[in-house]
Amino acid sequence: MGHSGSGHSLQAYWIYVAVFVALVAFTVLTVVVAGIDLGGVNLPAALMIATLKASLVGLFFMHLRFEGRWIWGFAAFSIFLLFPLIAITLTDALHKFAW
Amino acid sequence: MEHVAGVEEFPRFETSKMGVWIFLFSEILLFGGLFATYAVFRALHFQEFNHDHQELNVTLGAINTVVLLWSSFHVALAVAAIQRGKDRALKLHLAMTILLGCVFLVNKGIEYSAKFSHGIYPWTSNFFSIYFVITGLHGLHVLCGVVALSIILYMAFQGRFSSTNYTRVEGTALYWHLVDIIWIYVFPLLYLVA
Repeated sequence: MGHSGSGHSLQAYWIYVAVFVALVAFTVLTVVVAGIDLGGVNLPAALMIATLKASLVGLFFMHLRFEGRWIWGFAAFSIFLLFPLIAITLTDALHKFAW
Repeated sequence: MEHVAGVEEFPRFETSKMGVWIFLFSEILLFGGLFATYAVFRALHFQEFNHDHQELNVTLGAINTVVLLWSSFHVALAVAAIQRGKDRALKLHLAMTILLGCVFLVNKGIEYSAKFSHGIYPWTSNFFSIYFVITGLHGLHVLCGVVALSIILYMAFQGRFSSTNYTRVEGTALYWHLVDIIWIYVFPLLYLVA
């Protein structure tokens, strides 16, 4: 049950505060950007900002930056699976119904 | 055997944390399936998505985004506090996280009832079916998180955690952060760029 007291994941308080401020700023940014009509760029822009926010939460709030290769390996694997899951489903559906 | 020796070197607390991470990855793929459905619906019914998503209240969605980020901030501080052995700060931050989780659920309830009163239901359109499924399942995760965090808070009041024993606090916090990350994608996809 115990956690090692190595203290390897002690992160200064100001980092948590800075990350939270950045997350709120990115939320404002994503709302503002979505209000501008950029045509086909709106969706990738929103996804990029969201991924940036998710990375901040993962690295600093979830302490991923202190984790070893095991947990990084699982993270990489699930994200690696996620892309073909969405991409293949989408191309298959478009092939069947749209063309 | 070489790999067995590797297992022995692997500390026990690390394995329980890894268990939580494996669960989180299964959650990513669960929501991944729903996002795939979203992508297909959006591609096939683009006009309908463009029209229907304007029914959603962007202000309320943005407020809920900040509320959930704020709650994530507090649960991160709860872990930081107990890592430093600060028991009182742990309880305070856990309580704030639970409170903000409840605020999120109340806002979601207001949104749902507004939709119902406008005659919008999951079977109204493709957009609203995926909207209700994703936000509903996400809301259920928030509800489970609030319950789990309340149990952790109760255990904290029993003095069950210390700077060398906080695996359960950490695991629950990781789950809460994931629920936050999912919402980070849900908000722009449903409220902003549909």
